[in-house]
Amino acid sequence: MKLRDHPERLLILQRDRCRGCTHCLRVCPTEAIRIRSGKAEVMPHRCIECGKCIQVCPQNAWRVQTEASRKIREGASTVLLDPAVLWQFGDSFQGVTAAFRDLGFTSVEDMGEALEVYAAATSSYLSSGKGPRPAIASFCPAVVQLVQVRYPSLLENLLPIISPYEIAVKRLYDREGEKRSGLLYGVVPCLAQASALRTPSLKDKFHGVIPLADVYNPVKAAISRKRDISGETWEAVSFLGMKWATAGGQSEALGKGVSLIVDDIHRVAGVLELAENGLLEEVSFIEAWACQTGCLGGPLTVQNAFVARYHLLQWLQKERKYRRPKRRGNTEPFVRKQAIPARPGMRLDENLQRAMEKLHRIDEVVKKLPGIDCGSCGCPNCLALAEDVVQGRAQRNDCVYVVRRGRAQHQAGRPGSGKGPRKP
Amino acid sequence: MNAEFKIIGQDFKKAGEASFEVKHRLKRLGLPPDVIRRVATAAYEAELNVIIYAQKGSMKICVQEECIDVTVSDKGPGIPDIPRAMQVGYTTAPPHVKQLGYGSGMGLPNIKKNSDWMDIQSEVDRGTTLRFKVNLNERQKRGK
Repeated sequence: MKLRDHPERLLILQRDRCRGCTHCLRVCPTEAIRIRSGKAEVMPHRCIECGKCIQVCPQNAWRVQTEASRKIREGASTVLLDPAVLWQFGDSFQGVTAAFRDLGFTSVEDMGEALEVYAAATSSYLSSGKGPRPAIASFCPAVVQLVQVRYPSLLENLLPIISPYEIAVKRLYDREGEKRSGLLYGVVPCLAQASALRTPSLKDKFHGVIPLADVYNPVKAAISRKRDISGETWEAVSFLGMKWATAGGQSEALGKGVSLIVDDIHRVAGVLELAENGLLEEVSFIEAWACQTGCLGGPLTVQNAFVARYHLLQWLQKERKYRRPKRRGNTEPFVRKQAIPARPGMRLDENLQRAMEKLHRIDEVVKKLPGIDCGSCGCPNCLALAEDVVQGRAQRNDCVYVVRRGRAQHQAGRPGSGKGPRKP
Repeated sequence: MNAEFKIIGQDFKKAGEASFEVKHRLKRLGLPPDVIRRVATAAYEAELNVIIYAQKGSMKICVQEECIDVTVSDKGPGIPDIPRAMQVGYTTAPPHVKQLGYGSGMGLPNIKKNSDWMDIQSEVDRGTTLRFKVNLNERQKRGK
Protein backbone atom coordinates (compact mmCIF):
# COMPACT_ATOMS: atom_id res chain seq x y z
CA MET A 1 0.00 0.00 0.00
CA LYS A 2 1.33 3.40 -0.90
CA LEU A 3 2.01 5.57 2.06
CA ARG A 4 4.63 7.86 0.62
CA ASP A 5 4.30 11.28 -0.82
CA HIS A 6 5.56 10.19 -4.18
CA PRO A 7 6.98 6.97 -5.53
CA GLU A 8 10.59 5.98 -5.46
CA ARG A 9 11.92 6.29 -8.97
CA LEU A 10 11.83 2.86 -10.52
CA LEU A 11 10.87 4.26 -13.90
CA ILE A 12 13.97 5.20 -15.85
CA LEU A 13 14.20 6.89 -19.22
CA GLN A 14 16.95 5.66 -21.50
CA ARG A 15 17.74 9.10 -22.82
CA ASP A 16 19.61 7.94 -25.89
CA ARG A 17 16.49 6.14 -27.09
CA CYS A 18 13.98 8.94 -26.39
CA ARG A 19 13.13 11.09 -29.42
CA GLY A 20 10.79 13.41 -27.58
CA CYS A 21 7.94 12.20 -29.80
CA THR A 22 5.01 13.04 -27.43
CA HIS A 23 3.38 9.58 -27.43
CA CYS A 24 3.81 9.20 -23.66
CA LEU A 25 2.93 12.84 -23.10
CA ARG A 26 -0.57 12.31 -24.44
CA VAL A 27 -1.52 9.12 -22.61
CA CYS A 28 -0.43 10.06 -19.10
CA PRO A 29 -3.62 10.14 -16.98
CA THR A 30 -2.22 12.69 -14.52
CA GLU A 31 -0.36 14.87 -17.05
CA ALA A 32 2.87 14.03 -15.26
CA ILE A 33 5.11 14.05 -18.36
CA ARG A 34 6.71 16.97 -20.17
CA ILE A 35 9.15 16.98 -23.07
CA ARG A 36 12.07 19.23 -22.17
CA SER A 37 15.05 19.71 -24.47
CA GLY A 38 13.73 16.94 -26.66
CA LYS A 39 13.49 14.31 -23.91
CA ALA A 40 10.64 13.08 -21.74
CA GLU A 41 10.64 14.06 -18.09
CA VAL A 42 8.40 12.78 -15.30
CA MET A 43 7.05 14.93 -12.47
CA PRO A 44 7.28 12.39 -9.66
CA HIS A 45 4.67 14.01 -7.44
CA ARG A 46 2.07 13.34 -10.11
CA CYS A 47 3.21 9.97 -11.48
CA ILE A 48 0.86 7.13 -10.48
CA GLU A 49 3.07 4.45 -12.04
CA CYS A 50 0.37 3.08 -14.34
CA GLY A 51 2.97 2.42 -17.01
CA LYS A 52 0.96 3.83 -19.93
CA CYS A 53 4.10 5.64 -21.04
CA ILE A 54 6.03 2.36 -21.15
CA GLN A 55 3.31 0.76 -23.25
CA VAL A 56 3.02 3.43 -25.92
CA CYS A 57 6.69 4.28 -26.39
CA PRO A 58 7.67 3.39 -29.98
CA GLN A 59 11.37 3.58 -29.07
CA ASN A 60 11.11 1.30 -26.05
CA ALA A 61 12.86 4.04 -24.11
CA TRP A 62 11.32 3.48 -20.67
CA ARG A 63 12.76 0.90 -18.33
CA VAL A 64 11.75 -0.33 -14.92
CA GLN A 65 14.97 -0.53 -13.00
CA THR A 66 15.09 -2.63 -9.87
CA GLU A 67 18.18 -3.86 -8.12
CA ALA A 68 17.20 -7.44 -9.04
CA SER A 69 16.95 -6.54 -12.72
CA ARG A 70 20.69 -6.91 -12.90
CA LYS A 71 21.42 -9.96 -10.85
CA ILE A 72 19.58 -12.78 -9.19
CA ARG A 73 21.70 -13.98 -6.32
CA GLU A 74 22.49 -17.63 -5.87
CA GLY A 75 21.51 -19.46 -2.72
CA ALA A 76 18.33 -20.55 -1.01
CA SER A 77 15.68 -18.31 -2.44
CA THR A 78 11.96 -18.26 -2.94
CA VAL A 79 10.22 -16.59 -5.84
CA LEU A 80 6.65 -15.36 -5.63
CA LEU A 81 4.93 -15.26 -9.03
CA ASP A 82 2.24 -12.76 -9.86
CA PRO A 83 -0.79 -14.54 -11.40
CA ALA A 84 -0.09 -12.87 -14.75
CA VAL A 85 3.31 -14.56 -15.01
CA LEU A 86 1.97 -18.05 -15.65
CA TRP A 87 0.09 -17.11 -18.81
CA GLN A 88 3.03 -15.58 -20.63
CA PHE A 89 4.26 -18.85 -22.05
CA GLY A 90 1.40 -20.15 -24.15
CA ASP A 91 0.17 -23.59 -23.26
CA SER A 92 3.42 -24.50 -21.56
CA PHE A 93 2.50 -22.86 -18.27
CA GLN A 94 2.77 -26.26 -16.62
CA GLY A 95 6.52 -25.97 -16.91
CA VAL A 96 6.85 -22.52 -15.36
CA THR A 97 7.54 -23.72 -11.83
CA ALA A 98 10.21 -26.13 -13.01
CA ALA A 99 11.73 -23.43 -15.18
CA PHE A 100 12.11 -21.05 -12.24
CA ARG A 101 13.75 -23.86 -10.23
CA ASP A 102 16.05 -24.40 -13.14
CA LEU A 103 17.06 -20.75 -12.91
CA GLY A 104 18.23 -21.31 -9.34
CA PHE A 105 15.23 -20.62 -7.13
CA THR A 106 14.74 -23.28 -4.48
CA SER A 107 11.03 -22.76 -4.11
CA VAL A 108 8.33 -21.23 -6.28
CA GLU A 109 5.12 -19.80 -4.88
CA ASP A 110 2.06 -18.57 -6.71
CA MET A 111 -0.39 -16.00 -5.39
CA GLY A 112 -3.53 -18.14 -5.68
CA GLU A 113 -4.02 -18.78 -2.00
CA ALA A 114 -3.31 -15.19 -0.96
CA LEU A 115 -5.79 -13.95 -3.54
CA GLU A 116 -8.49 -16.24 -2.16
CA VAL A 117 -7.88 -14.88 1.30
CA TYR A 118 -8.08 -11.36 -0.14
CA ALA A 119 -11.35 -12.26 -1.85
CA ALA A 120 -12.73 -13.69 1.40
CA ALA A 121 -11.72 -10.54 3.28
CA THR A 122 -13.33 -8.41 0.56
CA SER A 123 -16.48 -10.47 0.71
CA SER A 124 -16.80 -10.15 4.47
CA TYR A 125 -16.14 -6.39 4.29
CA LEU A 126 -18.85 -5.94 1.64
CA SER A 127 -21.43 -7.92 3.64
CA SER A 128 -20.57 -6.01 6.81
CA GLY A 129 -22.05 -2.89 5.23
CA LYS A 130 -19.26 -0.80 6.72
CA GLY A 131 -17.65 2.06 4.85
CA PRO A 132 -18.93 4.15 1.95
CA ARG A 133 -20.23 2.65 -1.31
CA PRO A 134 -19.17 1.90 -3.94
CA ALA A 135 -16.19 0.09 -2.46
CA ILE A 136 -13.24 0.32 -4.84
CA ALA A 137 -10.82 -2.55 -5.37
CA SER A 138 -7.39 -1.77 -3.97
CA PHE A 139 -5.54 -4.60 -5.68
CA CYS A 140 -4.19 -2.51 -8.55
CA PRO A 141 -1.69 -0.06 -6.98
CA ALA A 142 -1.94 2.29 -9.96
CA VAL A 143 -5.67 2.67 -9.32
CA VAL A 144 -4.93 3.39 -5.65
CA GLN A 145 -2.45 6.06 -6.71
CA LEU A 146 -4.93 7.51 -9.20
CA VAL A 147 -7.40 7.93 -6.33
CA GLN A 148 -4.67 9.53 -4.18
CA VAL A 149 -3.78 12.08 -6.84
CA ARG A 150 -7.02 12.79 -8.70
CA TYR A 151 -9.94 11.51 -6.59
CA PRO A 152 -8.94 12.03 -2.94
CA SER A 153 -12.59 12.21 -1.86
CA LEU A 154 -12.84 8.50 -2.75
CA LEU A 155 -9.92 7.37 -0.56
CA GLU A 156 -12.31 5.99 2.04
CA ASN A 157 -14.00 3.93 -0.66
CA LEU A 158 -10.84 1.90 -1.27
CA LEU A 159 -11.09 -1.58 0.24
CA PRO A 160 -9.54 -1.50 3.72
CA ILE A 161 -7.64 -4.73 3.17
CA ILE A 162 -3.89 -5.26 3.01
CA SER A 163 -2.57 -6.17 -0.42
CA PRO A 164 -2.48 -9.79 -1.63
CA TYR A 165 1.32 -9.51 -1.65
CA GLU A 166 1.27 -8.61 2.03
CA ILE A 167 -1.07 -11.55 2.64
CA ALA A 168 1.20 -13.89 0.67
CA VAL A 169 4.25 -12.82 2.66
CA LYS A 170 2.33 -13.07 5.93
CA ARG A 171 1.31 -16.63 5.12
CA LEU A 172 4.80 -17.55 4.07
CA TYR A 173 6.11 -16.38 7.42
CA ASP A 174 3.25 -18.03 9.31
CA ARG A 175 4.06 -21.31 7.61
CA GLU A 176 7.78 -21.25 8.04
CA GLY A 177 7.87 -19.47 11.36
CA GLU A 178 10.11 -16.69 12.51
CA LYS A 179 13.15 -18.65 11.52
CA ARG A 180 12.29 -18.16 7.88
CA SER A 181 15.52 -17.42 6.13
CA GLY A 182 16.62 -17.20 2.54
CA LEU A 183 15.89 -14.55 0.00
CA LEU A 184 12.49 -13.70 -1.35
CA TYR A 185 11.94 -12.38 -4.87
CA GLY A 186 8.77 -11.21 -6.54
CA VAL A 187 8.09 -11.33 -10.28
CA VAL A 188 5.69 -8.57 -11.28
CA PRO A 189 3.87 -7.62 -14.51
CA CYS A 190 3.93 -3.87 -13.99
CA LEU A 191 5.67 -0.82 -12.62
CA ALA A 192 2.94 -0.25 -10.04
CA GLN A 193 3.35 -3.66 -8.38
CA ALA A 194 7.13 -3.37 -8.55
CA SER A 195 6.83 -0.13 -6.64
CA ALA A 196 4.24 -1.55 -4.22
CA LEU A 197 6.77 -4.21 -3.19
CA ARG A 198 9.20 -1.40 -2.33
CA THR A 199 6.84 0.23 0.20
CA PRO A 200 7.86 0.12 3.88
CA SER A 201 5.56 -2.78 4.80
CA LEU A 202 7.11 -5.08 2.19
CA LYS A 203 10.53 -3.63 1.50
CA ASP A 204 12.44 -5.61 4.13
CA LYS A 205 10.63 -8.83 3.17
CA PHE A 206 11.52 -8.80 -0.50
CA HIS A 207 15.13 -9.06 -1.42
CA GLY A 208 14.40 -8.15 -4.97
CA VAL A 209 11.65 -7.29 -7.38
CA ILE A 210 12.00 -8.72 -10.86
CA PRO A 211 10.21 -7.11 -13.81
CA LEU A 212 8.47 -9.88 -15.76
CA ALA A 213 9.98 -8.69 -19.03
CA ASP A 214 13.50 -9.17 -17.62
CA VAL A 215 12.97 -12.81 -16.75
CA TYR A 216 10.85 -13.80 -19.73
CA ASN A 217 13.63 -15.04 -22.01
CA PRO A 218 15.49 -17.20 -19.48
CA VAL A 219 12.22 -18.77 -18.30
CA LYS A 220 11.08 -19.41 -21.85
CA ALA A 221 14.41 -21.06 -22.62
CA ALA A 222 14.26 -23.16 -19.47
CA ILE A 223 10.75 -24.32 -20.37
CA SER A 224 11.93 -25.49 -23.78
CA ARG A 225 14.86 -27.34 -22.21
CA LYS A 226 12.56 -29.07 -19.74
CA ARG A 227 9.86 -29.91 -22.21
CA ASP A 228 10.99 -33.46 -22.96
CA ILE A 229 11.73 -34.35 -19.38
CA SER A 230 8.71 -35.58 -17.57
CA GLY A 231 8.48 -34.64 -13.94
CA GLU A 232 7.54 -31.58 -12.05
CA THR A 233 4.55 -29.70 -13.29
CA TRP A 234 2.81 -26.70 -11.85
CA GLU A 235 -0.37 -27.32 -9.96
CA ALA A 236 -2.56 -24.40 -9.14
CA VAL A 237 -3.34 -23.88 -5.52
CA SER A 238 -6.48 -22.07 -6.38
CA PHE A 239 -8.76 -21.89 -9.37
CA LEU A 240 -10.38 -18.63 -8.35
CA GLY A 241 -7.09 -17.04 -7.44
CA MET A 242 -5.70 -17.74 -10.89
CA LYS A 243 -8.50 -16.00 -12.68
CA TRP A 244 -7.61 -12.92 -10.68
CA ALA A 245 -5.09 -11.95 -13.33
CA THR A 246 -7.83 -10.94 -15.71
CA ALA A 247 -10.50 -8.27 -15.41
CA GLY A 248 -13.69 -9.80 -14.02
CA GLY A 249 -11.77 -12.33 -11.95
CA GLN A 250 -12.09 -10.45 -8.68
CA SER A 251 -15.83 -10.16 -8.91
CA GLU A 252 -16.07 -13.83 -9.77
CA ALA A 253 -13.94 -14.70 -6.76
CA LEU A 254 -16.29 -12.71 -4.54
CA GLY A 255 -19.04 -14.98 -5.73
CA LYS A 256 -21.92 -12.62 -5.11
CA GLY A 257 -23.86 -9.91 -6.80
CA VAL A 258 -22.83 -7.94 -9.84
CA SER A 259 -19.84 -5.63 -9.74
CA LEU A 260 -18.84 -2.75 -11.94
CA ILE A 261 -15.81 -3.98 -13.85
CA VAL A 262 -13.60 -1.42 -15.57
CA ASP A 263 -10.16 -1.71 -17.15
CA ASP A 264 -7.72 0.82 -18.65
CA ILE A 265 -6.71 3.74 -16.46
CA HIS A 266 -8.54 6.38 -18.54
CA ARG A 267 -11.80 4.48 -18.37
CA VAL A 268 -11.21 3.92 -14.65
CA ALA A 269 -10.89 7.69 -14.30
CA GLY A 270 -14.22 8.12 -16.10
CA VAL A 271 -15.96 5.79 -13.65
CA LEU A 272 -14.33 7.41 -10.62
CA GLU A 273 -15.49 10.79 -11.88
CA LEU A 274 -19.09 9.55 -11.69
CA ALA A 275 -18.53 7.88 -8.32
CA GLU A 276 -17.18 11.15 -6.97
CA ASN A 277 -20.39 12.93 -7.92
CA GLY A 278 -22.37 10.38 -5.92
CA LEU A 279 -23.86 8.79 -9.03
CA LEU A 280 -22.83 5.21 -8.33
CA GLU A 281 -24.12 4.71 -4.82
CA GLU A 282 -26.17 1.70 -5.86
CA VAL A 283 -22.98 -0.07 -7.01
CA SER A 284 -21.52 -2.15 -4.23
CA PHE A 285 -18.09 -2.90 -5.68
CA ILE A 286 -15.94 -1.41 -8.43
CA GLU A 287 -13.32 -3.75 -9.80
CA ALA A 288 -10.85 -1.38 -11.41
CA TRP A 289 -7.70 -2.18 -13.39
CA ALA A 290 -5.13 0.23 -14.75
CA CYS A 291 -4.38 -2.04 -17.72
CA GLN A 292 -6.61 -3.33 -20.45
CA THR A 293 -7.79 -6.89 -19.61
CA GLY A 294 -6.25 -6.57 -16.13
CA CYS A 295 -2.76 -7.66 -15.10
CA LEU A 296 -2.34 -9.75 -18.25
CA GLY A 297 -2.09 -6.43 -20.07
CA GLY A 298 0.57 -5.08 -17.70
CA PRO A 299 3.34 -2.90 -19.17
CA LEU A 300 6.03 -5.45 -18.26
CA THR A 301 4.27 -8.45 -19.80
CA VAL A 302 5.55 -9.93 -23.05
CA GLN A 303 2.69 -12.07 -24.32
CA ASN A 304 -0.24 -10.39 -26.06
CA ALA A 305 -2.83 -9.87 -23.30
CA PHE A 306 -5.67 -11.45 -25.25
CA VAL A 307 -3.63 -14.51 -26.18
CA ALA A 308 -2.62 -14.83 -22.52
CA ARG A 309 -6.26 -14.62 -21.51
CA TYR A 310 -7.13 -17.31 -24.04
CA HIS A 311 -4.66 -19.70 -22.45
CA LEU A 312 -5.89 -18.85 -18.97
CA LEU A 313 -9.52 -19.48 -19.93
CA GLN A 314 -8.59 -22.68 -21.70
CA TRP A 315 -6.88 -23.95 -18.60
CA LEU A 316 -9.84 -22.95 -16.43
CA GLN A 317 -12.14 -24.96 -18.66
CA LYS A 318 -9.99 -28.05 -18.42
CA GLU A 319 -9.59 -27.70 -14.70
CA ARG A 320 -13.26 -28.29 -14.00
CA LYS A 321 -13.17 -28.79 -10.30
CA TYR A 322 -13.52 -25.55 -8.43
CA ARG A 323 -11.16 -25.58 -5.54
CA ARG A 324 -12.91 -23.53 -2.97
CA PRO A 325 -10.71 -22.45 -0.08
CA LYS A 326 -10.90 -25.10 2.61
CA ARG A 327 -11.42 -22.69 5.45
CA ARG A 328 -12.01 -19.01 5.19
CA GLY A 329 -11.26 -18.40 8.82
CA ASN A 330 -10.91 -15.04 10.42
CA THR A 331 -10.23 -12.22 7.98
CA GLU A 332 -9.50 -9.73 10.74
CA PRO A 333 -5.68 -9.97 10.46
CA PHE A 334 -5.96 -8.73 6.89
CA VAL A 335 -7.71 -5.46 7.64
CA ARG A 336 -5.64 -2.44 6.67
CA LYS A 337 -5.22 -0.22 9.71
CA GLN A 338 -3.57 2.85 8.21
CA ALA A 339 -5.50 5.36 6.13
CA ILE A 340 -4.20 6.01 2.62
CA PRO A 341 -3.25 9.70 2.35
CA ALA A 342 -4.16 12.05 -0.48
CA ARG A 343 -1.33 13.21 -2.74
CA PRO A 344 -1.64 16.86 -3.68
CA GLY A 345 -0.32 16.28 -7.20
CA MET A 346 -2.91 18.41 -8.99
CA ARG A 347 -2.95 21.31 -6.55
CA LEU A 348 -1.58 24.59 -7.92
CA ASP A 349 -0.36 26.02 -4.62
CA GLU A 350 -0.51 25.11 -0.96
CA ASN A 351 -1.88 28.57 -0.21
CA LEU A 352 -5.52 28.91 -1.29
CA GLN A 353 -5.24 32.59 -2.13
CA ARG A 354 -2.21 32.03 -4.35
CA ALA A 355 -3.84 28.97 -5.93
CA MET A 356 -6.83 31.12 -6.89
CA GLU A 357 -4.60 33.78 -8.40
CA LYS A 358 -2.77 31.12 -10.40
CA LEU A 359 -6.02 29.61 -11.63
CA HIS A 360 -7.11 33.05 -12.78
CA ARG A 361 -3.82 33.66 -14.58
CA ILE A 362 -4.03 30.23 -16.24
CA ASP A 363 -7.45 31.24 -17.60
CA GLU A 364 -5.86 34.39 -19.05
CA VAL A 365 -2.87 32.60 -20.60
CA VAL A 366 -4.89 29.78 -22.14
CA LYS A 367 -7.04 32.28 -24.07
CA LYS A 368 -4.00 33.27 -26.09
CA LEU A 369 -3.02 29.70 -26.97
CA PRO A 370 -4.36 28.02 -30.11
CA GLY A 371 -6.31 25.30 -28.27
CA ILE A 372 -5.31 22.50 -30.61
CA ASP A 373 -3.37 20.48 -28.01
CA CYS A 374 -0.61 19.59 -30.48
CA GLY A 375 2.01 18.79 -27.83
CA SER A 376 4.83 20.54 -29.73
CA CYS A 377 5.59 22.75 -26.74
CA GLY A 378 6.30 19.67 -24.66
CA CYS A 379 3.10 19.87 -22.62
CA PRO A 380 0.21 17.44 -23.09
CA ASN A 381 -2.25 20.22 -24.04
CA CYS A 382 -2.67 24.00 -24.18
CA LEU A 383 -4.14 24.17 -20.69
CA ALA A 384 -1.10 22.33 -19.30
CA LEU A 385 1.21 24.80 -21.04
CA ALA A 386 -0.76 27.67 -19.52
CA GLU A 387 -0.33 26.06 -16.13
CA ASP A 388 3.40 25.55 -16.67
CA VAL A 389 3.77 29.19 -17.74
CA VAL A 390 2.04 30.36 -14.57
CA GLN A 391 4.08 27.93 -12.44
CA GLY A 392 7.28 29.19 -14.05
CA ARG A 393 8.07 25.86 -15.69
CA ALA A 394 7.63 27.06 -19.27
CA GLN A 395 7.27 30.15 -21.41
CA ARG A 396 4.46 31.23 -23.67
CA ASN A 397 6.96 31.25 -26.55
CA ASP A 398 7.32 27.49 -26.20
CA CYS A 399 4.17 27.44 -28.32
CA VAL A 400 5.07 27.47 -32.00
CA TYR A 401 1.81 29.20 -32.89
CA VAL A 402 2.43 32.01 -30.44
CA VAL A 403 5.90 32.49 -31.93
CA ARG A 404 4.59 32.42 -35.49
CA ARG A 405 1.85 34.91 -34.68
CA GLY A 406 4.37 37.16 -32.97
CA ARG A 407 6.63 37.07 -36.01
CA ALA A 408 3.75 37.85 -38.37
CA GLN A 409 2.70 40.83 -36.29
CA HIS A 410 6.27 42.01 -36.13
CA GLN A 411 6.58 41.87 -39.91
CA ALA A 412 3.25 43.58 -40.39
CA GLY A 413 4.27 46.37 -38.11
CA ARG A 414 7.55 47.02 -39.93
CA PRO A 415 7.32 50.09 -42.16
CA GLY A 416 7.65 49.41 -45.87
CA SER A 417 7.29 45.65 -45.66
CA GLY A 418 4.01 45.90 -47.50
CA LYS A 419 2.75 42.64 -46.12
CA GLY A 420 -0.21 42.12 -43.87
CA PRO A 421 -0.21 39.76 -40.95
CA ARG A 422 -0.51 36.09 -41.77
CA LYS A 423 -2.85 34.12 -39.65
CA PRO A 424 -1.34 31.04 -38.12
CA MET B 1 -11.97 32.86 -7.93
CA ASN B 2 -14.99 33.31 -10.11
CA ALA B 3 -16.01 31.24 -13.08
CA GLU B 4 -19.14 30.81 -15.11
CA PHE B 5 -20.35 27.89 -17.20
CA LYS B 6 -23.23 27.67 -19.65
CA ILE B 7 -25.83 24.93 -19.40
CA ILE B 8 -28.01 23.95 -22.35
CA GLY B 9 -31.49 22.58 -21.67
CA GLN B 10 -32.46 19.07 -22.81
CA ASP B 11 -28.85 18.25 -23.69
CA PHE B 12 -28.64 15.09 -21.61
CA LYS B 13 -25.57 13.86 -23.42
CA LYS B 14 -23.58 16.71 -21.92
CA ALA B 15 -25.17 16.40 -18.50
CA GLY B 16 -22.51 16.91 -15.86
CA GLU B 17 -19.98 18.84 -17.93
CA ALA B 18 -20.38 22.09 -16.02
CA SER B 19 -20.21 20.42 -12.62
CA PHE B 20 -17.25 18.26 -13.68
CA GLU B 21 -15.44 21.42 -14.72
CA VAL B 22 -16.28 23.05 -11.39
CA LYS B 23 -14.96 20.01 -9.57
CA HIS B 24 -11.76 20.00 -11.60
CA ARG B 25 -11.09 23.62 -10.73
CA LEU B 26 -11.69 23.08 -7.04
CA LYS B 27 -9.17 20.25 -7.10
CA ARG B 28 -6.61 22.60 -8.61
CA LEU B 29 -7.11 24.82 -5.59
CA GLY B 30 -6.29 21.93 -3.28
CA LEU B 31 -9.54 22.23 -1.29
CA PRO B 32 -10.44 19.47 1.20
CA PRO B 33 -11.74 16.34 -0.59
CA ASP B 34 -14.94 16.31 1.43
CA VAL B 35 -15.80 19.88 0.41
CA ILE B 36 -15.13 19.05 -3.24
CA ARG B 37 -17.34 15.99 -3.10
CA ARG B 38 -20.23 17.94 -1.59
CA VAL B 39 -19.96 20.82 -4.05
CA ALA B 40 -19.64 18.39 -6.96
CA THR B 41 -22.72 16.41 -5.94
CA ALA B 42 -24.88 19.47 -5.33
CA ALA B 43 -23.67 21.22 -8.49
CA TYR B 44 -24.43 18.14 -10.57
CA GLU B 45 -28.00 17.99 -9.28
CA ALA B 46 -28.49 21.69 -9.92
CA GLU B 47 -27.08 21.35 -13.43
CA LEU B 48 -29.44 18.46 -14.15
CA ASN B 49 -32.42 20.50 -13.02
CA VAL B 50 -31.59 23.11 -15.65
CA ILE B 51 -31.14 20.44 -18.32
CA ILE B 52 -34.42 18.71 -17.43
CA TYR B 53 -36.70 21.74 -17.08
CA ALA B 54 -35.21 24.78 -18.74
CA GLN B 55 -34.00 25.93 -22.17
CA LYS B 56 -30.78 27.41 -20.95
CA GLY B 57 -29.00 28.44 -17.85
CA SER B 58 -25.67 29.04 -16.25
CA MET B 59 -23.61 27.98 -13.28
CA LYS B 60 -21.53 30.56 -11.46
CA ILE B 61 -19.00 29.57 -8.90
CA CYS B 62 -17.30 31.86 -6.45
CA VAL B 63 -14.65 30.66 -4.05
CA GLN B 64 -14.53 32.82 -0.95
CA GLU B 65 -12.43 32.70 2.15
CA GLU B 66 -15.05 30.89 4.19
CA CYS B 67 -17.15 29.06 1.66
CA ILE B 68 -17.84 28.09 -1.89
CA ASP B 69 -20.81 29.93 -3.33
CA VAL B 70 -22.59 28.40 -6.32
CA THR B 71 -25.39 30.10 -8.22
CA VAL B 72 -27.34 28.24 -10.89
CA SER B 73 -29.88 30.28 -12.75
CA ASP B 74 -32.08 29.42 -15.69
CA LYS B 75 -34.75 30.72 -18.01
CA GLY B 76 -37.39 28.08 -17.51
CA PRO B 77 -40.87 27.29 -16.22
CA GLY B 78 -40.10 28.24 -12.62
CA ILE B 79 -41.22 26.39 -9.50
CA PRO B 80 -44.79 27.19 -8.38
CA ASP B 81 -44.57 25.47 -4.99
CA ILE B 82 -41.02 25.51 -3.60
CA PRO B 83 -41.70 23.73 -0.25
CA ARG B 84 -43.34 20.90 -2.17
CA ALA B 85 -40.43 20.72 -4.62
CA MET B 86 -38.12 20.27 -1.66
CA GLN B 87 -39.90 17.05 -0.65
CA VAL B 88 -38.06 13.81 -1.28
CA GLY B 89 -39.57 11.99 -4.26
CA TYR B 90 -41.70 14.87 -5.50
CA THR B 91 -41.13 15.51 -9.19
CA THR B 92 -42.77 17.18 -12.14
CA ALA B 93 -40.38 15.73 -14.71
CA PRO B 94 -42.07 14.65 -17.96
CA PRO B 95 -42.21 10.91 -18.76
CA HIS B 96 -39.52 11.03 -21.46
CA VAL B 97 -37.06 12.44 -18.91
CA LYS B 98 -37.97 9.80 -16.35
CA GLN B 99 -37.38 7.18 -19.01
CA LEU B 100 -33.81 8.41 -19.22
CA GLY B 101 -33.45 7.73 -15.51
CA TYR B 102 -33.56 11.34 -14.41
CA GLY B 103 -36.13 13.32 -12.45
CA SER B 104 -36.64 11.00 -9.49
CA GLY B 105 -37.42 13.85 -7.13
CA MET B 106 -34.11 13.64 -5.31
CA GLY B 107 -32.39 16.69 -6.80
CA LEU B 108 -33.30 19.53 -4.47
CA PRO B 109 -33.24 17.38 -1.30
CA ASN B 110 -29.79 16.20 -2.35
CA ILE B 111 -28.56 19.76 -2.81
CA LYS B 112 -29.91 20.62 0.64
CA LYS B 113 -28.20 17.57 2.12
CA ASN B 114 -24.82 18.44 0.61
CA SER B 115 -24.79 22.17 1.27
CA ASP B 116 -24.59 24.34 4.36
CA TRP B 117 -26.95 27.01 3.07
CA MET B 118 -29.43 27.03 0.21
CA ASP B 119 -31.86 29.49 -1.32
CA ILE B 120 -34.31 29.30 -4.23
CA GLN B 121 -35.83 32.31 -5.97
CA SER B 122 -38.33 31.41 -8.64
CA GLU B 123 -40.91 33.07 -10.83
CA VAL B 124 -43.35 30.94 -12.81
CA ASP B 125 -42.75 31.11 -16.58
CA ARG B 126 -39.68 33.28 -16.05
CA GLY B 127 -37.06 31.15 -14.39
CA THR B 128 -35.33 29.99 -11.27
CA THR B 129 -32.20 31.02 -9.42
CA LEU B 130 -30.78 28.49 -7.01
CA ARG B 131 -27.90 29.40 -4.78
CA PHE B 132 -26.06 27.22 -2.32
CA LYS B 133 -22.96 27.44 -0.18
CA VAL B 134 -20.58 24.86 1.19
CA ASN B 135 -18.39 25.95 4.08
CA LEU B 136 -14.69 25.38 3.71
CA ASN B 137 -14.02 24.46 7.32
CA GLU B 138 -17.20 22.50 7.63
CA ARG B 139 -15.89 20.01 10.18
CA GLN B 140 -15.09 22.66 12.75
CA LYS B 141 -18.36 24.48 12.27
CA ARG B 142 -20.45 21.40 12.69
CA GLY B 143 -18.42 20.48 15.72
CA LYS B 144 -17.52 17.09 14.35
